[in-house]
Amino acid sequence: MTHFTFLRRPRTSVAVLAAASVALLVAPTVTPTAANAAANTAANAAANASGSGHGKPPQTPGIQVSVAADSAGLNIATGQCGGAPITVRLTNPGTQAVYADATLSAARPLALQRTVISTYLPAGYTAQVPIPVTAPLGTEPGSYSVKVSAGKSTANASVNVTATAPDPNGDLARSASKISASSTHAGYPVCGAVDGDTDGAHWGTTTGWNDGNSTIWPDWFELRWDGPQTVGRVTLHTLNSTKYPAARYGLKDWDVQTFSDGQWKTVASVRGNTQGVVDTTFEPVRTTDLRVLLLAGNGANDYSRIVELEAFAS
Amino acid sequence: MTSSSQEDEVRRAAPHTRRRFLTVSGAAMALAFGTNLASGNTASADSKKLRSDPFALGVASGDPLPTAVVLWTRLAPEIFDPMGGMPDKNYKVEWQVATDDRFRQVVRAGTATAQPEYRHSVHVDARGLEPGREYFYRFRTGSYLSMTGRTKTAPEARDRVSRFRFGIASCQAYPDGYYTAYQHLAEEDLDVLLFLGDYIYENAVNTVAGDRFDTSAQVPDIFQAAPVTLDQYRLFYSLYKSDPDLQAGHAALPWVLTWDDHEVVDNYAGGVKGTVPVEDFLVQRANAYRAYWEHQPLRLEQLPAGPDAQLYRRFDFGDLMQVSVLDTRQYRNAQPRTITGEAQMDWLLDGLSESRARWNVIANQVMLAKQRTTLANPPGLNADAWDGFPEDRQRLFDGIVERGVEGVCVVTGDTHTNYANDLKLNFDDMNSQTVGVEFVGTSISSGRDGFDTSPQLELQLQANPHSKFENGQRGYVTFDVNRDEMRADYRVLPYVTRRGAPVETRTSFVSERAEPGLKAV
Repeated sequence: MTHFTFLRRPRTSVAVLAAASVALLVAPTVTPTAANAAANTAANAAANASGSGHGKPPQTPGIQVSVAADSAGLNIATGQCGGAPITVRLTNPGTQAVYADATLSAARPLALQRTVISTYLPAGYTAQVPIPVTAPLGTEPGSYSVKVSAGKSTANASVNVTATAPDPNGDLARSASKISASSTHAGYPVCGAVDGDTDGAHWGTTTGWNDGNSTIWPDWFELRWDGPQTVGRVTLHTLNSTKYPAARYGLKDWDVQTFSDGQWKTVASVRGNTQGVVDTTFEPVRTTDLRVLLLAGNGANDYSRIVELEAFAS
Repeated sequence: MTSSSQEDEVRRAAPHTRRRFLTVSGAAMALAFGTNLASGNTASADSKKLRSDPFALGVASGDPLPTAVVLWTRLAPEIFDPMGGMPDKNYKVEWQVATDDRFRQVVRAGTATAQPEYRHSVHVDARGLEPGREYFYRFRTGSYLSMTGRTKTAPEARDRVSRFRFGIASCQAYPDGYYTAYQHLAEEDLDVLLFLGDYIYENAVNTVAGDRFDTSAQVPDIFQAAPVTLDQYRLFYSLYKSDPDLQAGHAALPWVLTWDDHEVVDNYAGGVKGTVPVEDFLVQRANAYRAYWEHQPLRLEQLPAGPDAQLYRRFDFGDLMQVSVLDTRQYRNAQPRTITGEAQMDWLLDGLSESRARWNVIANQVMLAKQRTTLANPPGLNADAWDGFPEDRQRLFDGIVERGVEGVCVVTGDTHTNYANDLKLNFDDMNSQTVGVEFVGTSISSGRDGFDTSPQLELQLQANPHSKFENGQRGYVTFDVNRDEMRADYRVLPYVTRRGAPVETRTSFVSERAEPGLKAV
């Protein structure tokens, strides 16, 4: 028969089994030194390395954390789309593999993609993990620290934040605090539609937004500001290039909407479009939220595609 | 601000002088199942202080033996938190097994310890049960009671069993659609479900959960990145297991699971994924395997040690059916070329020849039968399936013939398509011996709504005379096994991107033990 031990029919009850003994390893617990760990149960939780299982005690559960030199003095701009990743390195200097947890924290108001990194670390191995860092609009320019810790090992990175300047042409989309969409296709991030690049020939290089669900309508793409803005003109650049003409790949029908009194109000509508660039003007309104409600495309794969969305006072 | 290396600020971790060993005995052993490791905190925290329901990921049971079954849950009140919203402390979790769903007749009970190193997952090997019997189980911590699960032990291996019913399921990409199939599967009268791989997908999930298009989902941005580290894989399991239909499927019956590629990354082979250095990929695989074990009803024997895990294993269901569960991902190798690895193939063939069961079921991941995808000569073949490893397939078939193995039934996932195949000793000669049958089950959700047939499937039916059925709808397959005959019902759903799809039987086949081969019902 088979050599698998669990195939033996276990006739022992829990009580009988309990008479057996087993060695348990107790790893030291280290309190995370992260500045804001107390505010975060996740960061509070995981600051120790545990053994690789099967009852074998790891000889060196301690691991070392560091931040890759090229991201130790990371430069980012404020805003959802101005961020960049630091590369966190977790090293196991010991002779036994471990499962390790590291916690991350950032000086307020910086935001980290995640606050815990857990990974298997073979003996002598270094894991390199990119962690995106962003600073909200309005963050005071200057140097901020990101702290990484695992057990007793800690490392810091300095993040230099510069303020994203208002767009010289008055495009308010460039100063939106929150850019979101109904869904997003991998490789076509929302930030691509507010990056100042209006060239449809750059499609597919993260400079435009594509929704994540073909054939499902409507879609939407939304801008939110920290304070009310006056908006009287919206310019939508849908996909239009030699390779991907708007008449086949562009958006066909959409409404421009602003949010007030608890609901979306349509301030302009476009129907039957086949052009790459469409200006819509309307009576200027004060609003903190603006979106384009996307109702239909011109066919190919039935997706929404925006190369750039711009909003102006007039 | 100048950019400077932070290396100087890294302090070396102090040696672990506090390391010590504990010997536990008595009741503690029952609690410690699933880990030979304890947290740094030996005491358990007060569960009464948990402020919201920690059983947000449901319950599960699996790997049934005649007198034992694994019960699983995980304490995770906040599913998108990397710690599940739990403090870095041990928690006591009580469990009960009863013969009735109101727990008037509790036959086994105990207390397990949920440990932060395993993200507070609980794996209880509930023993001392009676063979072939239905049970109900539940967990409690503090004032929170889990949902109730139903499970069933396997019949005694030597007992004569006249009838057994099981199901197969696979491929449940969360953003491709709803898990309505499990609502229906939970209503079927089945003894066990074999899950044949692709439980999670490494693909990004957007804020509205892809084609579910659920604006209330609010899936966090971290799911936009494919998982590599353990915290990321754990989050994917949290998302998937938060689905109420999947929870209903687990709670309805015991599962026996194996994995395919997407539990790690698409189309990996052993230690190889594209141009990723093997050393780095094995770390990713270790992370993925660990998260898998933490989230499935598996025994300690299946706990990975780094990138290695013993997932191929065998189950007996009386004298009627034996199930050999394969792992055709971990041991793939280019030279010598193999899909199973030498040791697993030996184990498989030895098990088949020593089996005294009427039926020998092989729980397999990728299609075993040859499947020509073009009419050209030579035809197009899927190199990721057994078609990419014809030597191993022939070794298996030759072994079945040489050892006189009867009642061979292979069940398979992977392709998001229903197939029914006669397994020919030589697929290029339809007059050659039929060594068994293969039922390939479609996906639960992967591939979105699906279709009944397509020009490609029609072509493949023409190009593969041993294939009797090809269908691209979503669903699962149920099997009704008796001493002499196995019946398969292909249960299909018309859509999954909306909730509430009905289920129907698209077609049924039987195969006789004495004369293997598919017959339409």
